Amino acid sequence: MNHHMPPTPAAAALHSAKTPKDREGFRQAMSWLHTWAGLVLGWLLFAIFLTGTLSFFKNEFNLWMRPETHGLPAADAHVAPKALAALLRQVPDVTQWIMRMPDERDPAVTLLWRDTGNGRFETLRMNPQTGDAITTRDTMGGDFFYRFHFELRTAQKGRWTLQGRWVVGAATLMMFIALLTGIVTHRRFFKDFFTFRPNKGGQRAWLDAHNVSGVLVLPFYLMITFSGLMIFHTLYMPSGIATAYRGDKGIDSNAYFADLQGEKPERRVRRSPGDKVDPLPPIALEPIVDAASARWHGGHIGALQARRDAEGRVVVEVTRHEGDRLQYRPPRLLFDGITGQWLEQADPTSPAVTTYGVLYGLHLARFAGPGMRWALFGFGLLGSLMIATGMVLWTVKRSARQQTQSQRKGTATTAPRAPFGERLVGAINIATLGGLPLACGVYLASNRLLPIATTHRADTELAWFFSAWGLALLWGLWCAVVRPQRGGWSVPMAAGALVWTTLPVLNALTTQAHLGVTLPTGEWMWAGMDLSFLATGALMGWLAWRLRPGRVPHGRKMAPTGAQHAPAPTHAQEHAHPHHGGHHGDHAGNAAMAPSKAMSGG
Amino acid sequence: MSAFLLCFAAWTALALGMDRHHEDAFGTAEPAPRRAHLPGLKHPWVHPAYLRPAGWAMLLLSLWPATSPADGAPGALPASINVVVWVAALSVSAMAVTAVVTWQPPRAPALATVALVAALFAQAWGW
Repeated sequence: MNHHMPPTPAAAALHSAKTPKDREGFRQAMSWLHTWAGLVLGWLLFAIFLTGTLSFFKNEFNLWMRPETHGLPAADAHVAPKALAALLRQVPDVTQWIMRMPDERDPAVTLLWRDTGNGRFETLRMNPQTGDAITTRDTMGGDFFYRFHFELRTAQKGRWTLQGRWVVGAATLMMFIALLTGIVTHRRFFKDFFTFRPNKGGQRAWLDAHNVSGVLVLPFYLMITFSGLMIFHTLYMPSGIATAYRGDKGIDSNAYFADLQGEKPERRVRRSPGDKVDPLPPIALEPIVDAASARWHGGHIGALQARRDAEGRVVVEVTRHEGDRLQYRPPRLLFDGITGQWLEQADPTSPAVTTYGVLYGLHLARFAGPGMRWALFGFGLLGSLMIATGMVLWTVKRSARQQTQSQRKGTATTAPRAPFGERLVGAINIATLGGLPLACGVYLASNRLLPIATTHRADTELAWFFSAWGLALLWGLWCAVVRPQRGGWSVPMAAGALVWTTLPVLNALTTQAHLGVTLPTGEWMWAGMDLSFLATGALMGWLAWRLRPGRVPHGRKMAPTGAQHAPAPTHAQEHAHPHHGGHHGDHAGNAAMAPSKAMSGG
Repeated sequence: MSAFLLCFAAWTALALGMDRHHEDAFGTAEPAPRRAHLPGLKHPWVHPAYLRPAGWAMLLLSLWPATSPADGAPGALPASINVVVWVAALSVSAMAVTAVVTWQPPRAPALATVALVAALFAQAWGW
């Protein structure tokens, strides 16, 4: 609108003064977007983030939840032929099998197979030395966290998984928006780079915790969110395939996937369930394994599989171990199953496929060794805490604003009842941030407590998980919406602490894979799980203690003020302590910062 | 490992190059202008004007071992994974530095010095 103004010096001054103001307006708009993009699906994001973080240890959860796999001997060089012979003893007419080789993270041989009926794949776990089948309890194990993380899976066989992936995709997009707008909104990105002032209390401490956990691990968040979106690009953005892979008989997405995996489309078999397939002839695996190792200059072999291709030829595919490179979908060598002759290597090298593979690989982190895995796990926890602090910050900010308003009106003595929406947010905060860790603990406990012979045992475990979560929601609603009171946070936290610390005890009472066995023999994978459970329990117990009702922090003369949705009284802190005497104030501090302290402590 | 230690030293230098953390660590308010009081300054070598470039230099330096090509040793990881490990080390060490300047600011300079020396040893022994 300045166009219509005459170019007087005053107008020019106005014009130049407008630039920073515009920037401020932009920042404010981004701030709005950040708040609402974060809030709307924030709880879901927290759940996705936390279960995804646990999925970094999917293998370890899988083992812990199947204690029958404890104590397996190490594999030797002849493990593949031995396992195949054992499979053929059990299933003589096998038509297709996939053999996952044992490695440092999983000592068992896992075989997926199907017979002439061409139905679903069956799973068989084997002792790598003897080939004996290991019968394990019926559980989803760590796969539940993994499946819930990307498709909100609620049952073992899976239902609404496609819809779940869409919901997760929407949440991920929100996360990406919240991250980008968060960078814009953060006024002092570089100045506050290392700044965390828990002793300032209240909103300041929460904001610092949110900022520090957001900024310092930002590369991880951007990577994990963007790659998470890209993994399901075919689902979210199908028009690319629809345009480029249009054939005579409609869209040939099968050819796209073949290209993506570097396969020749004619090698991909298209059979419908129930089709008759000829059984595989005997295959000499040893020379094929040797040839593959030689071709990869001693690289590890991750998996072997055998099947008939579209022309009925028997093909053995050797997949390299995923720890050998960053990119997802390791290279595969194809051999003729009868002659043992090398046919080709499937490893697409086009820039687009490589980029996709790197993003995919970064997200799944199959390349990561123990140190890197723990670092990523820590980043995931910090991400969950960043989301959590953001959610709490929303209520803290609101109640602080309300407090100032009522102080201005002179009614500060009686805290008013917060509006319904705010109480609802408080309730769901309790249910998600406190309830989900509790539910995860209950899920693990159910794995040890349910009788082995329970029918639909895996689904019953999930029922325990969702019941615990649902109870936490009811509790949150009761404490924050129906009858506002303090103590809403400490109960699920204390319950979670109890469950997590009990896990190693339950393990000791019900299995032979407990700390008394695993510590002396130095089986750190098994012992590490139990010890981590103990640590989780201790952390939750500490939080419950900090957030217990009626706790008046040191140096605070404020009386507790009625209804609270944030874990602790937070407002009026600035008024009570305009200067807190530098940053070395009392460390007992303020209950409101407990989770933020825990973040740096844990 | 050496990347983590070097990043730790680098981030500490950058943090101490900021007024707030400098004051927390050394107890001196606004540092004197460079050159003017250099000999009289209590800690002449930790002036923000030196710390900041030193921090950036060490950050860059920490990337070098990660990107240098694997020498074909058994168990050597490809450079792509090494760079990812480096980025992770960047974040972990930044968290560590934040914890130090939050709860133990006076110890930050000593810790960073130890980290720097340890980083050189770790690099020498190929950790």
